[in-house]
Amino acid sequence: MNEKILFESMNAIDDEILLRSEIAIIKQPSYIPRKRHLRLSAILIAATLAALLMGAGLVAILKGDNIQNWFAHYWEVITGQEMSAKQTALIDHLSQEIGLSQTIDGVIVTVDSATVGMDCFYLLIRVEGLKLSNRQFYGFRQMDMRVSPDPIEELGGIGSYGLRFHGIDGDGSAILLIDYDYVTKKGVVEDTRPLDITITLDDFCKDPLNDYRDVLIKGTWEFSFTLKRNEIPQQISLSDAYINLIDLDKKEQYTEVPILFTDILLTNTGLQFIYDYENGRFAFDHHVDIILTNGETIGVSGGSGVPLKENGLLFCSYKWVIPVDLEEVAAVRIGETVISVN
Amino acid sequence: MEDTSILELYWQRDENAIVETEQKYGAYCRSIAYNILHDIYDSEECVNDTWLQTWNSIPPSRPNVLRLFLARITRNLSINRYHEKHAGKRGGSQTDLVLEELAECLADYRDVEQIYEARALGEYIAQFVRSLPEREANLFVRRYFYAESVSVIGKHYEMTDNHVIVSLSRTRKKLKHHLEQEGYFHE
Repeated sequence: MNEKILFESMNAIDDEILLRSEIAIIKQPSYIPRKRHLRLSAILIAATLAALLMGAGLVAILKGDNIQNWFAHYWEVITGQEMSAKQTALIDHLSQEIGLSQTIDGVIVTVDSATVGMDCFYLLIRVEGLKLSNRQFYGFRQMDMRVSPDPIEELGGIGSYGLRFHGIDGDGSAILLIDYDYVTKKGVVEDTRPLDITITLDDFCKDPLNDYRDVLIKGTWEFSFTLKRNEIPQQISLSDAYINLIDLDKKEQYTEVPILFTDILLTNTGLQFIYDYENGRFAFDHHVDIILTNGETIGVSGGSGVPLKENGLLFCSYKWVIPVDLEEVAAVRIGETVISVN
Repeated sequence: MEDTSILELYWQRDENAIVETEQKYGAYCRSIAYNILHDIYDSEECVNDTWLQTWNSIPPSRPNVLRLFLARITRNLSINRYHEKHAGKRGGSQTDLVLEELAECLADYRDVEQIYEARALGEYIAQFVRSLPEREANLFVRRYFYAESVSVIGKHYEMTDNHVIVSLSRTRKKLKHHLEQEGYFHE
């Protein structure tokens, strides 16, 4: 019992120290040429989504037979409404079938389909052949993904990918989504060359991020395929805005300072902006989301920031959890600041 | 919505306070509960209990940092639920591992409960964490406040699992020493 009391006593740790530990794990500008990792947000979003699914009683009827249907289902879960015809058409327009499967010890892993943006893509993964519980999280112990041509090697910058468990489909298979995005030191770059992708997924596990993860099937599933990238997403430039950022120089007291955000660009797949981060003095710790014309919101799956070579400003890029038709967007919200989309 | 506005809703006894809190901090609290409970349903129930307890606590409380106020309630409720569900069944879970590591710091002592009641232990812990270098303190609170796994901490701070384990082990030894120095813990 003593250790429980000690655990509870941790509540007395100073707010400033707890906040500092949170700030330290927020994606900060980095000069590291490449960063590849599973994101914590994968847990947060998966937990949120799973809770939403349970609340809505929808776990048994997940529709992940292709990425378009998955996004349509996800849209309903998030917004409580069916996708509009335009929104559906947008997802169709950006999506392509892959249909590659590999079986190890009766467990079939399929890279089903992809939705591709200018500097990001999403892949739908299905895992079949095991009896899985919708009370648990599943995933792979380790994942590696190679992209060629690699925009980070060519232009410099930072990129990341995440593998998220999204629940159990009606047929008992696990649905996972890989999302990949990058931001370059050249800022926004339109590139329509196809991407050669290689993915390796090691050991399918229950609770993969737990130190006591339970490996259900050992093995390595490997996939190689090409993604077409010939659809340039819609873009809208937004007006500059002041956003409150945390001043890390004020260690004694939690302090926010308004900083001007410029070059704010909204696309179907994400949001980009630039600000002067004063070499890491100002930390960005805000929700970023879209406010739709019907009042519902769409959040981000993750984001990255990279200092621009020429002026030392920070260029940031965030990706929506679902690509969005811009005609249905009323505003973008960064923290408490709402920027209208005209 | 700004935290100050959310707090004002609580003070006005406006139930939108809970809606706004859920919207802003729901995912955050769920992740804390899930780190401890590793069960989606239990985590969701704990977070719902967090909203109720917050509603009952504000007023009179007026927290300086709302997210941490919620975090503390969530982890308290989660650890209590964890103990209810795992009474007599120890070992094998992430949370057991965190608790066992903490037990190392207290292995020779029996009067922790008494000290805790005197509200001294919390202050000793806070004092100890203040004394740590920033990175070491960050690792310590991610593990023992947020109950994150070693591998997640390693990913956040770009360290190997082994490096995290060694660092945490050193910090626990320091904590044990710190608690010994306080003198309250002699048998």
